[in-house]
Amino acid sequence: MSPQPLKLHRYQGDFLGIDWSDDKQSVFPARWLRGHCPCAECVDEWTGKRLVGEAEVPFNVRPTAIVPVGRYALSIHWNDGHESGIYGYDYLRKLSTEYAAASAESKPACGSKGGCVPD
Amino acid sequence: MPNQEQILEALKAVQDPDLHKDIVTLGFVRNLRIEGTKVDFDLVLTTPACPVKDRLSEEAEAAVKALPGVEQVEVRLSSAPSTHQPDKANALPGVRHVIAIASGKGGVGKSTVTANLACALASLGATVGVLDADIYGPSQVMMLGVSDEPEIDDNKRLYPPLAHGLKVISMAMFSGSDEAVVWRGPMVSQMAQNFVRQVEWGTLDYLLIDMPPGTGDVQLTLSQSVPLAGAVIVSTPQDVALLDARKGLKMFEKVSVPVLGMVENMSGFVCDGCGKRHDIFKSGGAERVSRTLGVPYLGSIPIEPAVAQCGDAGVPAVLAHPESESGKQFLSIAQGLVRSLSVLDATKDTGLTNSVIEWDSLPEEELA
Repeated sequence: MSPQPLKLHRYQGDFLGIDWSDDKQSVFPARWLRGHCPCAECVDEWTGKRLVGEAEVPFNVRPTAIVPVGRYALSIHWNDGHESGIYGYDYLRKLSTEYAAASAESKPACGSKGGCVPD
Repeated sequence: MPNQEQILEALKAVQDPDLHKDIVTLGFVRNLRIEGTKVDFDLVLTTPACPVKDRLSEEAEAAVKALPGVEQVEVRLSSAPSTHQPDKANALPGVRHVIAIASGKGGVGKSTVTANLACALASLGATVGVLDADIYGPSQVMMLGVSDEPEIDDNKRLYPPLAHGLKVISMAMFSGSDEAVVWRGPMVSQMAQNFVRQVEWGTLDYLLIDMPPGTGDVQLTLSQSVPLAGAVIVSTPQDVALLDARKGLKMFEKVSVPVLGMVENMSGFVCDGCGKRHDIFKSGGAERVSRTLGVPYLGSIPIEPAVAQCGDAGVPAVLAHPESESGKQFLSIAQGLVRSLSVLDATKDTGLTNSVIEWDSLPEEELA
């Protein structure tokens, strides 16, 4: 069974934090996460090409609500009206690693302790 | 006379065999009082159906009695109240564990297993509900001998009727038992969701959902709209059924519902003439599959003519023939299930419940 989120955090500057059941933690900037929405409006179903990325969403985009779906995903509702993205737990873990790697290259956007621990 | 700390130290010798921790560390011991030579305390277990409650209570009593100066020990057994906060957005407030009883294919006796497990859990002391979600072939009304109709209040809330102390809701209550349900998938999914949301279950320790066979729409809808604590997969010993059982297992894995275990039904035939057990199909297949897939094997139910009849008569075998092989097996499977669940609870692997989390309601924290 894949790890389950135990607790969600809202960090200053609209960062979403997730505490996982295997004691790992993830932290994502809201806009980055919106830009990685896996839904069919944001990613072409046939080619897998991203149609809506970070550049296409408002600067001040932030979640309005987060709804757990069964035991496998979070559905995130955004203040730009987008609600169709279902982020599977496995996908969130993958994104966590991705974001950690990306931010390590540029600037340490990750927290000095905790944030976006890679798998 | 020993003091509180010494008594707790003595109680640490009592281990929960499933959680592999002592009862003090687990927080089971509460309200410890010492009055003269008398010691009394609460033993708060994780579920009223705890299969080892008597053993724990006896061991705890013995451990304290063995201390010098203690003459009388009183152990009050109880179980922890629901940790679920009643929550409007939660589809099932007040229900502690929702368990899906599923199978890869039809005709393996899933409904019989559901009815019997429900009765077995109730006989272990739990409050149990049964949701017959087998929309195409509902059978719980007949198997449990439900004679009353559900009550419906002005807000269209459904109140389930009782049968053998179980709260039961079934599709058959709405369509008439001999009418066929000829519906398209989306309608079935809608109905399944309404079922879940409109029924007033009250407080339940376990809600068993008798799933329709297969890995289709309804199964997915239910897994998505209810925080399932886990699923039990029922199979028969034949390879074909086991192949399908494997698929059922994979489906739950995909939606991250833990599989609590497998049950092998129709595992051999116990002859009512000679009492000998004949393996008509190969037996032990489910045990092999569960071992290869790494899920607990809960037990096997043989075919017994007398037992098969009680399903039709509306009294499950556990109640009608508790001394039969099937009756004993069902009870042991129920105990295995309770164990499987409390281990899962203790590891806190339960995740978030299915309620809406408003972003603005989360406290803003500083990112370290």
